[in-house]
Amino acid sequence: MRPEGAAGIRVVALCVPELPLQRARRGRAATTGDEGVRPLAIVSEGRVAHCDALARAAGVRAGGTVSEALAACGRLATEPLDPAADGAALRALAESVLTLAPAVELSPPDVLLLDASAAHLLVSAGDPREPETCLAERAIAAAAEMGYAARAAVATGRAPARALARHGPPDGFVAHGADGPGARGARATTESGGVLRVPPGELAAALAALPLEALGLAADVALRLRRLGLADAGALARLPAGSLAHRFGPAGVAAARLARGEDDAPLAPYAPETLPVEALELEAPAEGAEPLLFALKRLADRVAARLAGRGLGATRLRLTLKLDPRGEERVLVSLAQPSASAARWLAPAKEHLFTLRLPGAVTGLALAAIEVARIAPEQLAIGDRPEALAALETVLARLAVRLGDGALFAAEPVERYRPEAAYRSVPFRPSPRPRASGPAPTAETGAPDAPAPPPRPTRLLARPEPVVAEGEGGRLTALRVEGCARAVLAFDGPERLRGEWWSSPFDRDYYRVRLEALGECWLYRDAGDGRLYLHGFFD
Amino acid sequence: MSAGTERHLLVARLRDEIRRIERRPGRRSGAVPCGRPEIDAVLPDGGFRRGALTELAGGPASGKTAVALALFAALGADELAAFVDGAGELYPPAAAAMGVDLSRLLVIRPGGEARGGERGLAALWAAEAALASGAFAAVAIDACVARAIRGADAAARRLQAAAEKGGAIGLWLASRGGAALRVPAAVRLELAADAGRVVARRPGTVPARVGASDAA
Repeated sequence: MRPEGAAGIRVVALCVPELPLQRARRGRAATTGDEGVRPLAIVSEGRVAHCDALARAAGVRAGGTVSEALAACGRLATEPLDPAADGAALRALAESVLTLAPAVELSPPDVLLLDASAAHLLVSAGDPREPETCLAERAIAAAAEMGYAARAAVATGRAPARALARHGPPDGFVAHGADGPGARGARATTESGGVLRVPPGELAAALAALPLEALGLAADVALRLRRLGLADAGALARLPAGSLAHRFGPAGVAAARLARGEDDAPLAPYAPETLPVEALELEAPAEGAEPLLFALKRLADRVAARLAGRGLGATRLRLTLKLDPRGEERVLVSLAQPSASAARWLAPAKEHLFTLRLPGAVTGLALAAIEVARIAPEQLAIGDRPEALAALETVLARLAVRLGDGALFAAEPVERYRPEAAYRSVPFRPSPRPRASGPAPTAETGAPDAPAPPPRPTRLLARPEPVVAEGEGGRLTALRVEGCARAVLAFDGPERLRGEWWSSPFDRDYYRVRLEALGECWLYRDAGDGRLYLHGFFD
Repeated sequence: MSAGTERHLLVARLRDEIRRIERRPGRRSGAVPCGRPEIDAVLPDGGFRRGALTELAGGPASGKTAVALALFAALGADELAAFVDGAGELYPPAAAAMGVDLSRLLVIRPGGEARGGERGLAALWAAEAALASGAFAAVAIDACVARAIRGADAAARRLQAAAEKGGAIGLWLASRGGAALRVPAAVRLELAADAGRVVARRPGTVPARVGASDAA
C-alpha cells in the first residue's frame, strides 16, 4: 500500500451530531426543570429529518412522515428544519474556537475543521498530554460552553477527519496510538463527546472499516457499489484508481480518494463578518428579574465566547426582551472597557434590568454585541484590580440608568477654533493600564520650544452673556455684568478667533479681563454685531 | 509547642491576607497634595484628605475649579476622577492644558432638559453614587442647587458618608450666596482671586472637627 497522508495536514474535525436537534433544544431554555422531557423531532416538508433518543424510543424514525411520527408518539414536539439558522449556529460555534487554531473551516452541515498544526502551542512544556488530543478537547469544551455536545476526530487530511468525526470510529478499529485505557473503548468515549485520534500511520486502517455512506456517497451510489461486492471503504480503496471514473463519475473518484485517505487540500479559513447575537426563548413567561438574569447569564456566556474567540471585547451590548403578548423592550448596556468576560457584563446589565418597568411578562431574550473593540491579549487575563473595574462598571451603569447615557462622558480635544466646539464627548473608557511615559495626545504634544497655548477658562457659559462697556475718554474702565458695574483692573488680548465660513461663520476678539470682586473673565467682542459678551470664567 | 506557635502565625498571616483581599476596592487613605503650595499649605494634612469632603467656596472666578483640576492632575496614574457638572460649565480643554488626562476624567452632566431643581437633585445623587462607588479617587461636585429645594439638604448631608465609604476625595465647589446649599464638609476653604493669584484661607468658623477622624 502506498504511504498515505504523507503530504496532508493534521486536522481536528469537530462534529456536532444532530445539530438541528441540539440547536432546537438549546433555544428552548430552561427556566423550568423539565427541559428535554418531551420527545423532539425536527421536521421538513412533512417528514421527520431528525429526532432525539426519546422520540426514537417511542417509535419515531427519521425519514418517516410527520403523521406517522405523531401516531407513534402523541407527545412529540416538532420544530421546523431551518438550514439558515443551523448554518448561523455553526458559524457561531466556529467563532468560539477561532483562537484555538490558525485556521478553522466550516464544513456544513455540522462539522468544523481545525488546523491542528499549531496544537503543540496549547500544551505547556512537560505536559504529558498529546497536543492534538488537547486541542480536540478544548474545542469540545468550547462547544459545550456554547451549549452543544460535540465529538472530535484527529486525522491527516480534511475529508478523512471529517468522515471519522461524523461517523465516529468504525467498528473493530482500535487506535493503537490512543493513550491509556480509553483506547479499547474508543467508540464509547466518542459517543459521549470524546476524541478519536488517528496517528498519521494508521489512517488507512481507521478508514477501511467505515461504511460506504460515511464517505459522502449518495445512498443509491452506495447501494450500487455494495451490489458490486464492495462492503466498506477498505474495499473501495483497493480498487484501481482509474476504474471508478467512467461508472460513478467524479463522486466515485472522490469517494475512492477519501477511502485511500488522499486529501491534501488546505483548509478554507472562516473569517467572521457579523457581530454576535444570541437569542433564547423562555419556556414559561418570566415575571421577575431572577429567571431573566439566569437566562441572560447563559446568553452572555455564549456571546462572550464568540467574541473572545475573535480577540474582541464588547463595549456596547443590546439586550432585547420579547414581551408577552407582543412588543419588545430594548436595553443598551455600555461598558467602560472592552470586555469579553460575561461576568463583567452582568453587573451593569443587572442595574438596567432591575430598574425596568415592563408592561408584560418576558417570553424571550436576545443579546447582541453592537460595538466591539479589539482587546490586547494581556487584557484577556484578569486585570490588576478586577474588583475596582467591577465597581466602576457598576457605578457607570447606575449613573447611566438614572441620568441617561448622554449625561456621562469623557471629553476629547478637537482641533477647532470655535471655543465651544474645541472638545467633544466620547464614551468614558479609561484604558486599563495607565498611559506610559509616551507622548500624551493632549496639550503636551507640542515641541518643547513651542509658544505656550493661549489660556482657556475653566468654565465656559453655555450662552454667552451680553455685557455693556463703560468708559471715559476712550478708555475702558468698567463692565456692566448682570446689571452690576465692575471695575476693570487689567486686561489681556485680543486673541482673534474666526473661521467656519462654510457653515456658520464667526469672528471674535477674545480678552482676558480681570474684574473687581469677580476675578478673571473671558470676554469677546463679536465682529458681527460689535457687542461684548461674557463667555467664561478662569475659575 | 513550636508547631502551635507556627500555626498561630500562619493563621494570623492568612487572616491578614483575607482582610487584604476583602478590602473595598477604592479604599485608600492619606492625603493628596494638589501641587499648588498656596492651597496645600492651608490644608490640615498638607493635601486633600481621602475619604472626606472638602468645601471650596468662592465666587464665579475665584479659582476653585482650577484647584479641583490641579488635584485631578496630581492623582496617581491609575486613578480616576469625576466632575459632577451641575451647571454644565466645565470647559475640558482647560483641564487638558493643566495636565489632566481627559480619558480618565468622567464628566457627569445631569439632564440637559430637566428643570433646575431636579437637575440639582440628580447632580447630588450622582455625586453620592460616584463618591461611594470606590471607583473614583476624587470627585468634584458643582451641584448648582439651591438650599430651598426639598431633599437637597438631606442629600448633601449624605455626601460626607459616601466619601468615607468609597475612600474618595470629595470636593464641594460652592458659590457664595445666601441661597446656596451648604454641606457639612470636613474642611472648608475660602478662595478669592487677588491680583491674579488665588488666595485661600480656612475660616475659623469650622471648628476642631477638622482634625478629628470622622466629621459626619
